[in-house]
Amino acid sequence: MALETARRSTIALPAIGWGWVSFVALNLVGVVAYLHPFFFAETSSPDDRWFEHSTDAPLIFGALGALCMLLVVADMTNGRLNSKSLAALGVLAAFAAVFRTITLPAGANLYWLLVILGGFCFGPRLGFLLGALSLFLSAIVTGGIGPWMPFQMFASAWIGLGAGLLGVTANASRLPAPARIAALSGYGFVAAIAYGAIINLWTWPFWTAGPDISYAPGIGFTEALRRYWNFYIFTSFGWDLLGAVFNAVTLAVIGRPLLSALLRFHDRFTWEVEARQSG
Amino acid sequence: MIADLVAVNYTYPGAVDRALTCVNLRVREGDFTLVAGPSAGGKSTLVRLFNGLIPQFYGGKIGGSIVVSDHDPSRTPTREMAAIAGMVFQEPEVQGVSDTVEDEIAFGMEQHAVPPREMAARLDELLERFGIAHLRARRLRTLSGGERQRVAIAAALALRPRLLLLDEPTSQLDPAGAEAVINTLASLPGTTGTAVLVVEHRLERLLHRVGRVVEVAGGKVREWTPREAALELTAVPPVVELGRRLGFVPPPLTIDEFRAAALGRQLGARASENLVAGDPVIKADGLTAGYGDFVALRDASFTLHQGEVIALVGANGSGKSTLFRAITGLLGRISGTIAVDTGCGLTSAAGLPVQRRTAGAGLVPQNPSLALFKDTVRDEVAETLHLRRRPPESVSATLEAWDISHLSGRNPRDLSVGQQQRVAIAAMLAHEPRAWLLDEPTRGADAEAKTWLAARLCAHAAGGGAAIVATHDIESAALFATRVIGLDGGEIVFDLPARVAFAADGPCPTQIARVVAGATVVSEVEW
Amino acid sequence: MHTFAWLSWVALVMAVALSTTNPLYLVVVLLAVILVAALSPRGDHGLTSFRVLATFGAGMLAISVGISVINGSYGRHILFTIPGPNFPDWLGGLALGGPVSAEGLVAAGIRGFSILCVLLAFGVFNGAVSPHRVLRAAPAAVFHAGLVVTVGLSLLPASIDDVRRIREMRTLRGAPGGMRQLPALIVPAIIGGLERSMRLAEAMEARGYASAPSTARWPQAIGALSAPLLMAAAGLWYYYDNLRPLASVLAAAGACALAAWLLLAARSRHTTRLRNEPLGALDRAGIAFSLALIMFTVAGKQAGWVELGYNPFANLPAPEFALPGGLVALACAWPALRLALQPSKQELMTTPSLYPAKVARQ
Repeated sequence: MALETARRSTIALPAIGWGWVSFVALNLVGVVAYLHPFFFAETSSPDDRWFEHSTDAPLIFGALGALCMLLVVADMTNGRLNSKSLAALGVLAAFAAVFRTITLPAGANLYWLLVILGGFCFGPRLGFLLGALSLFLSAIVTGGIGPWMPFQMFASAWIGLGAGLLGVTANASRLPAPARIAALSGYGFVAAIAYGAIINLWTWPFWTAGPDISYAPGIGFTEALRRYWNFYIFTSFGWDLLGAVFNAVTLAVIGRPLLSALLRFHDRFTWEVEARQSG
Repeated sequence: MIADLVAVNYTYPGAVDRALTCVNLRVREGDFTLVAGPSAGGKSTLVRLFNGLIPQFYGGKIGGSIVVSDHDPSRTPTREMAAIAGMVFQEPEVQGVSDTVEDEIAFGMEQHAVPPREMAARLDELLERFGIAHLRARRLRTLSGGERQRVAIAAALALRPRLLLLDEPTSQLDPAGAEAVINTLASLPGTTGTAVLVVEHRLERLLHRVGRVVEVAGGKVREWTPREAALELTAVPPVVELGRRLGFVPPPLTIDEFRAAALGRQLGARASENLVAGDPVIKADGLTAGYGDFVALRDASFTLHQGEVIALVGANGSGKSTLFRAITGLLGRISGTIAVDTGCGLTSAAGLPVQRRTAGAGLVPQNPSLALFKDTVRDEVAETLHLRRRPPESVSATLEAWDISHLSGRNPRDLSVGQQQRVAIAAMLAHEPRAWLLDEPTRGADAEAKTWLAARLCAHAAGGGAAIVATHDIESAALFATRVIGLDGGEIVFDLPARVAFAADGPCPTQIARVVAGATVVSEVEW
Repeated sequence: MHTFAWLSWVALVMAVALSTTNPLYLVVVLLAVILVAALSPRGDHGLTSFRVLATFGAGMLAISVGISVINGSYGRHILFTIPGPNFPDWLGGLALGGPVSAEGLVAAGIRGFSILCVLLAFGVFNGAVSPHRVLRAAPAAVFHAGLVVTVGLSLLPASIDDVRRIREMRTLRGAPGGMRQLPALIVPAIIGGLERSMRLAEAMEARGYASAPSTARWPQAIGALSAPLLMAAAGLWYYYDNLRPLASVLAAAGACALAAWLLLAARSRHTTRLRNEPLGALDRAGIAFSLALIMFTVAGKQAGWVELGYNPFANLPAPEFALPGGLVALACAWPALRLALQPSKQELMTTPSLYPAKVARQ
């Protein structure tokens, strides 16, 4: 008997096929659930009782978003996580959760550093899972379960996914190391703003204020976008901007040594051993 | 027959040399086998062949034939192999998958879809048998190392495997914990017929209890009875070593056997030269420290002089680490006074920051390799010198002194555990403090590493340095200590010269002291 | 009380608090939630979580009212007008200031109040149910993801310890404090954690965990189908009044697909559990009661069986208190009755503390 082992990558997104279709479809439904105030805005006209009825829809769509998250995570983990990537995901999620609780000045924290670098190194699939599961872990540990959780999980997962795609692109175009760090740093900046913009969506329909800020069913896509933009600038933009700058700086400073450290592990847990008869 | 290995070769992925060469080994029901040999000799590799972790988890190239309970472990899914060959690993902290003892023991059974009722019955039985029923609802984190390892053994046996593999299960434990684990193990083959294969450095506890010894060195496997092993192994317990030197046949395995064999022989002790202590390096007076309301160290006073090496002994939780932390200033609130020689005579440490104190008394905590983060060994050492504002030229001298020059270009994370440990100690002490404070530096080390460290400590003391070494390992402490301080419940219970402390009627007698009056280590015995 | 019972209660509070705009009913809901909070058992992080969420909710209420003051509001009873500049059009044209109406303030207060109720309910849930119980309640279909989180949960305290010990070792090597030391702290902590995770993976494999034979593709497909079906149903229901019958059909189909998925995943599970949380008769009754009441509230509001609305913009009427609405709001207190009948055992403290105050006897 002689056996030789070959290695098989487990990190790439599945080839175009069922897994890919369901992944995209479920994410799209998630997006729709999020953005329902924009998508369905033009189809009915506001009546004088809008105030009494404007909250059921966000509730239903929020629940749908949670369902999508559950389905996506189930689909991505069933039978596709070997023990190594499972344990590595667990430990990275644990660190991310710890970092999320250590709040530095201006609400900045190192959570994104880990999700972004993890996604960048280990690919879109693990990036997505890392983003979603880290957020879930930190929520259950800090008692942060609430209606916002599925939204946060999606937003965080998309940021991990995006970092993974960035990593794939960087590898494909053989980007030199300094350019990678610059790209990561820029991505970190955008990610912090995007995260803020996405997670504020869940509360928006609940606010009641003047015609420049608050959501009302039937106001139309562009008007909804304008009002949301006002709402976002008004409530969280300044805060997110500080976080974004912090992200960009930490990624530029710590990105490089941490990236090389993570890459050293890349092989160890993203490859599965496959026994093969050798002649 | 449980397992049969015929002409097995194995090479790790990416490696050139074989890790195991032409291994032939049989394991029968009820076998109790000790796997011995030097570090990195292939012991861990050997036991992982039986449950298929090699090659299935590690990859690599394997040849020859392995049959374990009618299965080929290199092709059978590890999931199925888990029910045939259970395994316990070295570090208690990283084996736990679950939160509580119950869930931990149940994990394997859950994975194998054992029906809940059956699972509960097995769980009760295991808890009862290993005397850990009182722990069943405890969180794993709150258990001691010895308790955790016993839970790990129970967990491994929950699937009723025919073979139990243990990879250095006691190397991270204190003597009491290790004793409990070994006793548990020794009771297994008799009661259940489970064959046990245990990799172990602490031969003194096992050599007389096992049925046979397998030595793995340089990838080659040799099989002996315990008596043969006592003659053949390179590293054996001190009494066995002494018996060997005296030419006793068969070699004694225990102290009682030695005494019986040595009846009528005249054995004397060589007097060792008296130590002349130099200037004081650390002076502590009435030191009291703790965490919150808990007082971990109470009214400790002692002085460390140049040329002295103090062995600090005591059970886990007796205050050894606390003493070090208090001296170096890592604990904020303490009472009592500390003076440290930071380069210009003994000065009061009050108000001095950790960085200044450790310039004179360098502390190496447990598991120092945790802090390694540079890309090469050289950079790692240079980092400390840079932080200490020392000239970078002394890197080479440091590497030389710690015997790691040949590793200077390697990444510390690629080294073996023993090498990593040595690099980490070198990095922590690169600025050459006069006093070294080492917290269990020999934990998990093999005999060769212990001898090396003892020599290094003696040279340091001879060169005008001093050291305090916290350790559980009395036998290796006897190789370097000039003085022994015993801690119990946070108080200093004795402070004696090594000769008195290690003597047969002292507080911590060595094996040799118990068989030869006046001697403490093998090299002191005259005949 | 069982995790699912708690969840059903939280859903009930959400449904009622967000359906009603009548401030009188909201006060009843709020009192109900506070009563349950007072009676509910709490883990070691429970109180903090409740306080944080309560503060958060109060903050939301304040912001809600604040925004309506700053951006002005709809309504005819103008209390005062704040003069203020407009943002330029290309930036959205947000008008700062403007007329502030009594209706606007009342409406904003009501909304903030609803959200406060929901947040408090989640605060109670977070306090009463430990992370491990949340994980145990996860459906079989996400077993592997649950295991990732379990592993993370068990490695969390060790990770915190590592960071602390590495920082100490840096100091021992003579490093100053400050942000510049961050790489030297984070890099080894994460490498060490990953190395540990590899040893943990090995231990798991040796103990019989292997990536399970994956659930057959078609149950997954059925599950995945449920989301778009339900989404389409919700969209049609809310935004195309004339297509509501179609929406109901789609919703039924989606619900069936979802149920089928959960059942199939549970049946194809190749693992067992030592014990599941017992779902007692009282908890079953509580869950059934919650679900029935949620349906009654949602459907009843549409059909006009129960009047929960209050519209301040209709010339600021005085809110009315009617018995059906009041009873629905009061029903949110059912866990108080449940806990009084059969108090929960103080559960094992299984929450890892994020801030290990002191090193244990080391």
